[in-house]
Amino acid sequence: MMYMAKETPFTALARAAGAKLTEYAGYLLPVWFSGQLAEHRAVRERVGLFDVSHMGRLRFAGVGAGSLLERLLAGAVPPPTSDRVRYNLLLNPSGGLLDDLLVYPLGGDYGLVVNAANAAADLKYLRDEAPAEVMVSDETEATAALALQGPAAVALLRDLAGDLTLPGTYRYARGQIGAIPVGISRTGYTGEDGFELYTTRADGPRLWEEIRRVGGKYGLALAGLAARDSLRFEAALPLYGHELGPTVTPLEAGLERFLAWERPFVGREALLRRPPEVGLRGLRVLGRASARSGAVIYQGGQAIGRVTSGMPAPTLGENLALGYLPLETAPGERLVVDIRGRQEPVEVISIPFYRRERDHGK
Amino acid sequence: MGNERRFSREHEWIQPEGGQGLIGITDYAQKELGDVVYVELPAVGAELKRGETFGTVESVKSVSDLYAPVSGRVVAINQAVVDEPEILNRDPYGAGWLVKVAIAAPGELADLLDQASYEAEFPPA
Repeated sequence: MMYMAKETPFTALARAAGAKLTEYAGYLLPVWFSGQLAEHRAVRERVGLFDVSHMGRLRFAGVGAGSLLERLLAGAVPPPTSDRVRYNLLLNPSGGLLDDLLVYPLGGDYGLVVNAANAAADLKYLRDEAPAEVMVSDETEATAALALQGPAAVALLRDLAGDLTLPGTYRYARGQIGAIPVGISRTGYTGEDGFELYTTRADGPRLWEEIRRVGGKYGLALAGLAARDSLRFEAALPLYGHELGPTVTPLEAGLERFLAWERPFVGREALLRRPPEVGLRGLRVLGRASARSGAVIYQGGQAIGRVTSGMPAPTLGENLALGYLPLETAPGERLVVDIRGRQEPVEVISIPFYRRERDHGK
Repeated sequence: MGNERRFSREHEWIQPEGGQGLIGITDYAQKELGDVVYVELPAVGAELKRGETFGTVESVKSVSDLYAPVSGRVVAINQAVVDEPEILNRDPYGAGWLVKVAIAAPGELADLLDQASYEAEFPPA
């Protein structure tokens, strides 16, 4: 049987808009429309629209839902009636990362938005652990998700949202955009202000069209996976499969502030017994070629780490990289990276590389 | 054989003229790569061997090796592309030429594809 990638609610619209499509986590998604650099800049300077429907969307319903999540997730779980969205971590019993995700309180139920590549494994694990009275459902195929990101995102959405008060940072509200019921989350993966928008699969295309209808006024650009990666990279946001994985702990990844130490959670005891020996660091490559994922990092001829993500950073005009290095490695230190067989000098620099309050207009 | 452009399956082209040829990458290749940010070329005088790597093209997203479509000695490199890599995206068959070689073995041209065959295998988008 031939494996076919699934269309998202927006694949046909993306195709019609001239996207270069690729298969990613089993879905047909745009790599780019007008080009990675143009889209990256559009998000930093104006606003970009991304299809993020590939992310897994799971619902937990029933009286024990909150307790289940408090046992299995390592971070704070918002109370059921809260409007607070929480970035959270799913750990294995050794304290290693199974996934990073967002938790949404939905007035009794909880919603989880997880990485597409981990969705099936997360669902199985959470279902297996759930007591009988907690219903765990996969709502991914029944829903659609878009990300609207950039300094003009708020103005654009206000234009569409009428009287609706838009939620503040890491808050969630339900409202109507046009006549479309939408879940509006003030979250994102680009380092810019913006929203992630959730609606039904059937309403997705209309929401896209509505956003595009007013988008011209704000310089809206359709944006794909390539720009999504270079944007999150500049903001030093970790990507599962690169900075995060089952052998990496939150302490190594710089995510300790998201741990709810005060209560038990899967992996808590292991983390206490497992102090980190490495930490995530930033690197500036001093030559013209970029260090890419997997490149080995040397100090005094000894291999001391590997690049987890690396590329030419569009906003900053430098070749940058992320990697796990010994804890004592500090900004200013000079190291060497093997780039396709050549030893290239690099300098350790602090992360994030891009901070919108500091670097806007670069 | 004449002076028609010939293509390799690794997405390089060569435009022969007399005993020399301009070498570059195809439109198909530049579309796959995306926005080119860096090109690494051999030095003038370098000897290229058919099928072996002779440089790299780097976009934000990825790095690709350049494979010599024919054997020959590099007699010129396109400094404009080194200074402004985006030329490769804009004009891969004209201003985006990469190196000029003195062709060592003209018979190798016959092993490459003509434009129709290349485009049949790698249809223009």
